[in-house]
Amino acid sequence: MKFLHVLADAGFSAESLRSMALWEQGLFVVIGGLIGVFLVLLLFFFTIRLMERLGSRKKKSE
Amino acid sequence: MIEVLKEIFNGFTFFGQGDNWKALIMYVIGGILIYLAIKKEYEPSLLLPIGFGAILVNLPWAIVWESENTSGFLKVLYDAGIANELFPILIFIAIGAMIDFSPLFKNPYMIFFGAAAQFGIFVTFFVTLIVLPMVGITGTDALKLASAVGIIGAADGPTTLYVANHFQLTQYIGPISVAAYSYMSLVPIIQPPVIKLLTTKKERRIRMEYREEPVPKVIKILFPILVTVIAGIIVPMSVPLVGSLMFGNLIRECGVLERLSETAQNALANLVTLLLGITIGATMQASQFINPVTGLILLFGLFAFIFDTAGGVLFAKFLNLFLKRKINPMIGAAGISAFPMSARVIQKMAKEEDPTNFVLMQSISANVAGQLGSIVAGGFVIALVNMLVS
Repeated sequence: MKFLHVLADAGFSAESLRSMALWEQGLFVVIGGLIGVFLVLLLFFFTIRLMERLGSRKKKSE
Repeated sequence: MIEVLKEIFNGFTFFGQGDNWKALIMYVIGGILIYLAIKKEYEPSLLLPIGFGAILVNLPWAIVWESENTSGFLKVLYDAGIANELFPILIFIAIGAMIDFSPLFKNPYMIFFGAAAQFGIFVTFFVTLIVLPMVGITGTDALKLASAVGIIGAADGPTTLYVANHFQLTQYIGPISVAAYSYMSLVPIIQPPVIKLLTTKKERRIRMEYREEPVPKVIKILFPILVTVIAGIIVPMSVPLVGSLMFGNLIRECGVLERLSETAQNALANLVTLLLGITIGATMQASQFINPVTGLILLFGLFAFIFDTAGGVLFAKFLNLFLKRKINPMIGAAGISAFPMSARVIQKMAKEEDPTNFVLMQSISANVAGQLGSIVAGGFVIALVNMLVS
């Protein structure tokens, strides 16, 4: 599994990614994409919570 | 004399030359799309122009596309709005102006359904990537095509078009957009059986609480700005989509641009939809459309759609393993981007199981989250695949 070696290697480069087999490249996109989407939406979630808190603090102070 | 007649009636002789008979099949396909639009009312604003565009471009000599080295009006529209990604972006401004994120602010955790329901995109991407070499598409071409096919599952036409355009999949843009838009219109037919297959009657009857509280205006204004900045920093490739969606939403929520908001929601949306539909139809030229890859795109597009629905439902069921207050797992299916159709389908299904059950607002929360999720997923697919193909 070259894929795991490439990911395990902290300094993995675009070159090494491109030299992987097609299915390994596919796996890279699947894992990277799913983690990425969850991560960004997690940040959106925290953004909403943070804004909610600020909103409720403002209400209290009023 | 015969030569002169042949020249005058060259429209008749056209069908006898080479593969031109395939144009007749495209008339039938165009006719079916128009029938679905008028008779079944499946996304008529899109399917009708697409169907008519498909007929127009397959008329003898495709004058509307190109004639004597001069671009026809549909080619002009294609170059001006599709090839440079302008139409999808304008559509997003209109969609942004239509979306009210308030239900999501009241149920922020629903945002995760917008992520879970993108599962099908990536599964389909992978499966398509494995299958494409069997039809002779390999390497970077396979990566690019698999990306666009996977995105069909997001049930988000503009994002699908954006990804397909980004990878310059001009020859496949017809089947890709037809699959994206026609499956979007088939949400009420595709989703219910998948949901019923994965849930029990008891689960479908789960009731959920909903807080009816006003959302402060400052939150509504800050949200589109912050989301754009976050997405722009983490996934720069998604900025055109997120940025235009959030620009439309900011116009809506700011409260001082009522006229622009109205225009974006109505005039802009209608005008771009009209031009987008007929231009997409014009990409369905028989010589490019009728081949085995079109069949694969349509098949895997459906596969993506089904798996996106399943991803959302299964994620809700997974969460229910740990939650005291259970979530109605049908809500997960609304995490796809077909807004607001998917939310309505979920509410209708909930009502069928229990006429007093009201889950519309929760479904809308998941649905608007799906809108965000699909464009973020599109951005990630472009960014990751770019790393592999550039």
